[in-house]
Amino acid sequence: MAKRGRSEPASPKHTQRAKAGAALVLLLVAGVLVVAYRPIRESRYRSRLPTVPAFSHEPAALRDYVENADRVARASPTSANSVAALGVAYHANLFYDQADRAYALATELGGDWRWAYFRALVHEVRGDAAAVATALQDVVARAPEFSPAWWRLGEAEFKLGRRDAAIAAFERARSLPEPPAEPWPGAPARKAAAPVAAYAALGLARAALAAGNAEQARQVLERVMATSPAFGPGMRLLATAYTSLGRAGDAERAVRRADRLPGYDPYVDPSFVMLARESRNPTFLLQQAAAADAGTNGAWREFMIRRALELAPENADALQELATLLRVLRRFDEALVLFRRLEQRVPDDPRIPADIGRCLSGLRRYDEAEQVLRRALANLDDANTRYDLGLVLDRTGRPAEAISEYKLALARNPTHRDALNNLGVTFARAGRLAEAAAQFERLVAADPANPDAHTNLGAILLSTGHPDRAAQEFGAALEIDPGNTVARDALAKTNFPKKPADSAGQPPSLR
Amino acid sequence: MPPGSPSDFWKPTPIGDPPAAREQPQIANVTVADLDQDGLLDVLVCDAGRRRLSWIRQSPKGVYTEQVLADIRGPAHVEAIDHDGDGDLDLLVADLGELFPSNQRIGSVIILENAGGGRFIRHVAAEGLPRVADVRGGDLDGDGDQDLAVAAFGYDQGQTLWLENRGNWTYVVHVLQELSGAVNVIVADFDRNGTLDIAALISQEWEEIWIFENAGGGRFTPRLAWGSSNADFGSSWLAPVDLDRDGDIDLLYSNGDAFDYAPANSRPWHGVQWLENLGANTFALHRIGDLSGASSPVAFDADQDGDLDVAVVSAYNAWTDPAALSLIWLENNGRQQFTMHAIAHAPTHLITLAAADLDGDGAPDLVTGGMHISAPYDRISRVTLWMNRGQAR
Repeated sequence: MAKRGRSEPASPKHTQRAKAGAALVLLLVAGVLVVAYRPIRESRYRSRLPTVPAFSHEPAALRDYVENADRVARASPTSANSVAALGVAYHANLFYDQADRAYALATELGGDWRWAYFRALVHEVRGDAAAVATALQDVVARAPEFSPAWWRLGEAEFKLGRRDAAIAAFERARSLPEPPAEPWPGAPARKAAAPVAAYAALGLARAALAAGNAEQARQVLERVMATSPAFGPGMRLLATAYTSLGRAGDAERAVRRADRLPGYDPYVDPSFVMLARESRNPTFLLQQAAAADAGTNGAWREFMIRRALELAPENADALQELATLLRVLRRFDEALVLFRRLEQRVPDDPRIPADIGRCLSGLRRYDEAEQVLRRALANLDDANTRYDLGLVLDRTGRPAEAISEYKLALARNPTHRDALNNLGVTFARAGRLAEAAAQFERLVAADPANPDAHTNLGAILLSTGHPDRAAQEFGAALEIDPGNTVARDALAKTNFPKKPADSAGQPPSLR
Repeated sequence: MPPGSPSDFWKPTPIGDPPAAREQPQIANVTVADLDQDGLLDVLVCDAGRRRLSWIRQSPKGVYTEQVLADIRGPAHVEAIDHDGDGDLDLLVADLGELFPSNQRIGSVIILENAGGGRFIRHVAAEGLPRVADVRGGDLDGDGDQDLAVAAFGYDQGQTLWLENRGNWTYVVHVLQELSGAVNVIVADFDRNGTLDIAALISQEWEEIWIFENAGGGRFTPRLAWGSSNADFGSSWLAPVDLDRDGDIDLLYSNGDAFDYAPANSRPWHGVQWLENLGANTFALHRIGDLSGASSPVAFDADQDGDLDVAVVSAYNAWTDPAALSLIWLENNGRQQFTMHAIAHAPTHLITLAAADLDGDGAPDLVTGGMHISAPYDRISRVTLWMNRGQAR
């Protein structure tokens, strides 16, 4: 059989077979590459995952949670969601460097815009406004309807001195709706102190004030206070705008109104609810509790503290926070149990016996309260404890001793509001009206936004034959609190004042 | 930079009156000055717990004796300066009125005029202010006498002010800004235009540093020099220093305040940074160290190598952890890159720090004060002198 020469064309069948072979080889090579590449890629991403930190005194639940999230991410290091979940685990437990790395990786893996937003939150905590702004510019490009990102971008731009960019971002935030709530079955709802639009308006007003445009700030803030009347920081900044405009009277009234509103609470968007849900860190949970005003978000606050206590049952800070919250909410019996537990934990803290005394007083267990408060005073001779002892003595029918304690409280803090008020009331009950009036004068000077102070001073003035001045005080009370029925009724009486002699020996009605 | 080795060449010695039985000291500020001008440095102490300003006098050398200078309700800061131009040191005292938060206008600016012989005459430059945290002197209107810059912290309501000296211990109040949380005011010519500007550190929810540019004659223009959008950043102290020794005034800045909510510790974002003066009242922030509860950074040449190092105390750290630090120093490699060295874990709750060569051996020493308003109470101090035994290098 003659050999086929080189130039001899291959038969179609042979060519087909060769092509198929080559394709098979290529397929095999590709398959090998694919099979080999995946672990190489995974290995590359795995090596970029943050290293689990060396834990020291963290709760076991926190360690387990973070270590588990780390295991999941290491098993699927190219999964944006797994890596982002690791970021959340670190973020919610105050490991910011690790969270930053994980979020960066998740974003690179093509994850949700939220991870870029969460990364911006990490930059924000660390005070890096430039990084915040850069990250959020990307976020708002991908999620232009997410109002919190615009508001935060405005804040960052303002801090960087880029006023126009700040204004543009605040304006956009103001025009967008609130984001939907983050679901957390079983948890009380976390209410925002004000909508994000109100915070954006606050930012706009700050930018206007910084540029010397107080009138524009006034307009923005008056509008926001019309729609969010309980937004304390807005009212306070409005007072500043009025001051800058030379409207001293309006400024004073705004300050008085602000004094009766909650102070500044940071805007809490749904991301923080998610972080709180994922947190096993008592410090983070207590931080979230503290950022919630007890009046607006008491149930949420209690829920956060109790979660912290579940994680660290002997955490003295959490015990103190919960006990104090319950005392403020007048749940004295529950608070008492916790303060006693706390006293075992921190026997050298002089404030705890005073708190126990306050709870006993609130429970009307005055004999015990007096004993405890006297013991507390041996180590904490401060205005509050003196006042509390005075209150107990007052309630147990010892006005002279109560007066003495109130005076001691005022020697330690001359503007102690409750001591001033109660001293005035005690003097009035004893018919010492001139001394009572003096105390209420001091109280009004120290606490001009207190309608009861004006009402009580008015009542004394009316009883001592000064109806015009009394009417002024009742009017001041009504200006602060238009629904104050005591002041309104008393104001009506100023039209028919008694003569001073008529009221001798008849103490006025006081709040 | 990674942490360096702990430093063991600082020898702590309590000075002044020791804490009374079960007393939890509340020292708000310590300042070093040769008040009696006898050639030996003394220590001035704002004791908010005892509600007084005291003088720990060094006389003779190495012997420290404390005496009360004035009863003051909430002493927060003292500056020793020749305010009336008669050649001796007067004392400018910031009076909070009450250490703990309050919106009441109970703050005041008090000047103790040095009448010689250890006697001081009290003048109230301003009162009825929001709680006053700081006051510093300087000729702000260029009329030849010394005016005052004032940080009225308040609580929700606060102010930054300057008080125009009208002579005969009378002052006219000028409000520069109505923001709560003014911690410090620094008087310096930041833009080198020949007039004294004011830098103000504003904490609370603002977390900003403002420069009030002085155009002369007491006309000021506010400029935001730096700010954090973390409303919980915890700004705690601002100090002037030419850290990079380029001839202009930079700012040393700590964020470590954790007094606002429990737990008063474990804020991983707390630390120390410096703001490099880039001219025209613009600044660049450089982080130089992490420390929970960082407060009162001071620049000094700890290791005598010709550059400025930084020492910092911690007022709020995780004190139940024995490894929590209360005093560190940051070693400068000459290029403003810093290596952290631990100095001490105890006493805890140190909120104020001053650096000066108290023993005259050529090596700067440190003085600290303890603010014990949260547990634990097992490692307390009032005033501690940390002698530099000169083994830094």
